[in-house]
Amino acid sequence: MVLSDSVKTYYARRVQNVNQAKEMPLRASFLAPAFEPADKPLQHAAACGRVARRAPFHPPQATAEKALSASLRHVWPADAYARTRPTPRPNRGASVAAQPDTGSGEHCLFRGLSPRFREIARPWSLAYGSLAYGSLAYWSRAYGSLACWLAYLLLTCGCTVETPPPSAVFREVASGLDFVHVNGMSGQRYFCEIVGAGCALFDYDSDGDLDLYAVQGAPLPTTANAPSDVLYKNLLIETGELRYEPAVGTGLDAATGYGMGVAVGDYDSDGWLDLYVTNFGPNQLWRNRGDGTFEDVTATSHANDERWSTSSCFVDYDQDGDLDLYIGNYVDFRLATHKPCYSETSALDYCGPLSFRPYPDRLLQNQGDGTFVDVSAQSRIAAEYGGALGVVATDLNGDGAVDLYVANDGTANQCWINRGDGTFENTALLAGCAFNIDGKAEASMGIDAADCDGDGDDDLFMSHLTGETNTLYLNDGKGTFDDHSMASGLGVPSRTLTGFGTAWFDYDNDGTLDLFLANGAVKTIEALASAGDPFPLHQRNQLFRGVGAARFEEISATAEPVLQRSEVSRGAAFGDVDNDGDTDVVVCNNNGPLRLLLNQTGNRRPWIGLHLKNTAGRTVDDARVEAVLNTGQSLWRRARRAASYCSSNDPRVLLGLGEHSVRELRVHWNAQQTERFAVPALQRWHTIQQGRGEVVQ
Amino acid sequence: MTKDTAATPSKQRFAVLGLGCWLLLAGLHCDRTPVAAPPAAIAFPQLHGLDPAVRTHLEEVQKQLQRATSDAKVLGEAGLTYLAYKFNGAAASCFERAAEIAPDDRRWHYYRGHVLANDGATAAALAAFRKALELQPTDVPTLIHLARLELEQHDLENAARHFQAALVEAPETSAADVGLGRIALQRGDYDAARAHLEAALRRTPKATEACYSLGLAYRGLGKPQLAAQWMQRQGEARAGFPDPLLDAVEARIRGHRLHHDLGLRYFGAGEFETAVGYFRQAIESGAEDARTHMNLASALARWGDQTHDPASAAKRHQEAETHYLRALEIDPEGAVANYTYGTFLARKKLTANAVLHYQRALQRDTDNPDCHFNLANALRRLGRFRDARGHYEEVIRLQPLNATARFALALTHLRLGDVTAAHRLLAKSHAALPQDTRIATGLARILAAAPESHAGLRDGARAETLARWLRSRENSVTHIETHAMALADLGQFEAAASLIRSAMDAVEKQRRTELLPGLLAMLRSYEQRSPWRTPWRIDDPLLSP
Repeated sequence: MVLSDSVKTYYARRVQNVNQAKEMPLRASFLAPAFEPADKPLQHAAACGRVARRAPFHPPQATAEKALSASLRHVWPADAYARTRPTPRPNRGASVAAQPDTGSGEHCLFRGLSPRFREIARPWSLAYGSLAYGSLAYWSRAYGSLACWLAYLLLTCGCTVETPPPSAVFREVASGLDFVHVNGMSGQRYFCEIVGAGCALFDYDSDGDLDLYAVQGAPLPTTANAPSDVLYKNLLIETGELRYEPAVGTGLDAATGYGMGVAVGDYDSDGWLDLYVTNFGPNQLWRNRGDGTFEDVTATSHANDERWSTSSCFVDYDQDGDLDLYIGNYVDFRLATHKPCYSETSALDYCGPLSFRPYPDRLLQNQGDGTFVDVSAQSRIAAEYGGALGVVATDLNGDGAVDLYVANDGTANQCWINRGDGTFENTALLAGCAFNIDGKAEASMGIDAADCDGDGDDDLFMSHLTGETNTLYLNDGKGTFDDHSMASGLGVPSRTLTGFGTAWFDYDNDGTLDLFLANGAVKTIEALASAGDPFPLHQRNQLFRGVGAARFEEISATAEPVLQRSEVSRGAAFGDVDNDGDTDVVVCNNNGPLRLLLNQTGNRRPWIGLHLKNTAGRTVDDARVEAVLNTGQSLWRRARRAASYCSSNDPRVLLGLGEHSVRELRVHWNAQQTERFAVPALQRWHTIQQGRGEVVQ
Repeated sequence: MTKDTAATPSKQRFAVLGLGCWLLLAGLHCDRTPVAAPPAAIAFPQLHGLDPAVRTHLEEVQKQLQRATSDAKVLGEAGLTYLAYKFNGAAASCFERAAEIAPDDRRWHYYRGHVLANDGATAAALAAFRKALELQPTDVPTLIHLARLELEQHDLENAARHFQAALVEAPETSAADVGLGRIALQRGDYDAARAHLEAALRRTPKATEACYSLGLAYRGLGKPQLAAQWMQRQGEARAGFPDPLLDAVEARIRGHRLHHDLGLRYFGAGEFETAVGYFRQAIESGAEDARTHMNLASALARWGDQTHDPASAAKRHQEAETHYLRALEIDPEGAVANYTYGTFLARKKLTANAVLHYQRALQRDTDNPDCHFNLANALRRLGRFRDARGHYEEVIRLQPLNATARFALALTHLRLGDVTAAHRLLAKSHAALPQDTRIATGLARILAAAPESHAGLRDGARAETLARWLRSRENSVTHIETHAMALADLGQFEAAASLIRSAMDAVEKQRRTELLPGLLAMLRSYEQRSPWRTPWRIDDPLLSP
């Protein structure tokens, strides 16, 4: 077969294009269209870059990305501007190898074929098309070019579809969440710019759906008209449609600190959920008045902390029926004492936490009268500390008292075992969970505790810095841990990423816990910087599927297009925002937009949703549910809000059952009380109230 | 197929059939043999914002690369420079091309393995190390790096094989034993783990990275006390091994920023001499800033402290002082420079000067607990107890459970005659820190020997319980004295006198004769059936430093 010179040239050019396309996935639009929210009717809402509640910016015709960049430019000088955007086109060279294949478009010829075959065949489809064009061009001398062009288009581009693969679990929807985080970056590389922030999923108006509180940053140094945090009301119950709108007149527009995290709890036991917002600066306790408004009771409740706080959680550590408050404090960084730090390339970069003194954490005991007393010293919490970024409260040694595990950035973690007398003892070193298996302190950020190996106790997972691996500690039930990171398959895939928000959740309701990781670097990624990226910290997020026996497999970005985004993700909150029986994820990006990842398919498997309430009818945040399956094994799930990074989750318990059925349902309310309940109907949310079950001795 | 402008129906069918067959064959062919990607162009890194010396260095490298694109040595050398500055992408490209041109030079495969491992491309890194090993199967660094990567991948079998091979080649390599110990830990073979890790620590006692793993092995063997002992010695000093190829990388680094950072790294590792070298290089490269001078001064001071020869030590301390003063000349109000210089002066017993610098440091860094603590100690030494008290209180505000500060504050209260405040503080501190022996001692002594003006604070029985506990922890002279005080308060003078006599015997045996006068005074008091009514004598160095 002989091809004419022009055909050869064309073929060569197309093959070159294919190679370039492999290197520059997002530039080659015929391969991979830039991802847009699939929820077209909601796109306009996404265009409203919400930098400040008081001054929303609503460009009428802009796309989400354009609006985002415009809104940021509106507020920040050009050199400070760094928008979240798809992976930039990297330089040619080895550095591009790290870029993920972002092709979400699928050629019709390959539909129904195995993913492996499609992976190989997709780039070649264009080459085939080009070759076919060459042959057709030869024929066109006899039959005219139009038919040949049509044939070419049919073979190459005509069948390309731009929807996520049918197997994709998550779909990004805007749903009115137009929040854009600002970190105040000014080129000075202030350490606080890269640390925040989180968000909370909670039902502030007790209408039965999850509202959302998004924590905002501020200009640096902070100014009088700093943007505020934003509370979004979920209109699901009112309208039957998942849609968020900013709640107005709540009083939260005074939450203008440089925000880090948020904890949710009904500290005054009035039935309405209150908020504790941690800041780079003074924290704030917001009391929910129950009429849709909040009041700042920080001073009167003595809950203030002037230091840089990150994750915090409400926990009834003394088991007196009211919620106490644990505040994780970070390091003594101040703008006034800012110093330059350099990367290993010698370029100016962000400092690490070890450049600063850590602050002790605090434990505030609720006095039951709306005030707190600092018991950090009496409880011994302040005896040992590092720069805290994550905290979980759960019973780690099986004695019925709630313990605390604190994830510190770059120093040993603490495992505070509650001795039941108002004091705690840090057992982390001997328990084997202060350091990784090699005895190294890691930069722990996000954390969650759950029974990932099905043995009835809570195991610990925490996310770490690039160059380290994320760590899974398996609990032996007595509060002694083994580092299982490598054997679990969770270690190696995290080495090149910096993890923040994370949680155990069963995204596919198959009865095995899975993991999501919100990633984003804290040090300049050289490949991105060389490509001229203005905010070269962005990384892709990860989803791991539990395959049993505490082993996990990473879900590829090809299967889950939402994982193709490269952003500087920090907090992540988990909950069923549309009450459809599967867990959705809200990802909070640093200096970028909030993302709502809606679970599309989890509820196809059998599930039971449980909203646990105490005898007074208030939501229970810390009970354990044991579902005895038809196999005789138990499925253990825990109601919890505090987990992840600087965020607060849906405390309801979702039991994904997979192939199994439930024989018996028990709720372990606390160390003293366990009740058995009739197995509720599948595929529905149910309210389970303490005291209405059959007491189990 | 030939050119034919007059197509006939049979020719059309032939063309369609031919095209179909060709597409099918092409598809089958590509499925089996993917076309190799052309060699990637080297992505020159962005030089904007780099240290000028680094930029110049990289520009030189780029010029060389542009001149000789097919010279393996030039490519490899360029790769080394990029690797030194952590431009992994460019380094990987250079090593890849160098390896293509000179496939039998194991260095390029070895370096490529490191770059890829740094970038998280573990599979490719493993392949590169395996290639390097193929070319030199007995190379210990390659064996160890390969095995470490395999261990990370949980490929225990291959990791063990390669660590074993390294151990055969270089039996003195403790890194291989540490690796084998960790593999045994993962397999739950705690005995083997203990054996390997102990062997590693025997050869390299400084390798604290092995201590934690050894603790885990003892924990697995059901020996919690030994486990605790080893886990507490946890550290990150690695069991190193000679690796001349990698050592050559660091030597390429230029520029004051990176020399300063290297100095800090070695300072942190306790290698002060090397740190001094890098800080000096940083200053020679143009770092005329307070921070570098201060860090050089601190490294010199610490190096001097480690030096046994007094003349050399004095010389290093003198040079340290010069650099501290230079740092303060550049930034007179610098918080860190003033604080570290203050500490330097305090160690030289130049307390009044130290106080001035600490105070200056606190003007800019008001919440520095270490500075408050050192200042309070210095003020106590100068007899300014009231001023010291405030600074100890600041330390406790910033670090609520700082036991040393709490104890020092209690002593300051005592020195100022405020026994009630000392008692209150120690009682509160003991509740929060029950395991702290200094606080328990202080409390026991006030309970046993509070002066007559504060007789209401005394509780001999509780003091005796505390003293017994203290002696069970450590049967020191101080704790024996405390126990005797408590017994005397309870009227058990003979027992108290007997304890003091035993303490005197011990002191004489230890030749700590300076303690004898105090003990003798106590003994006389008990022999006269008179209880001791001074928790600490006024001339006790603890009370009056």
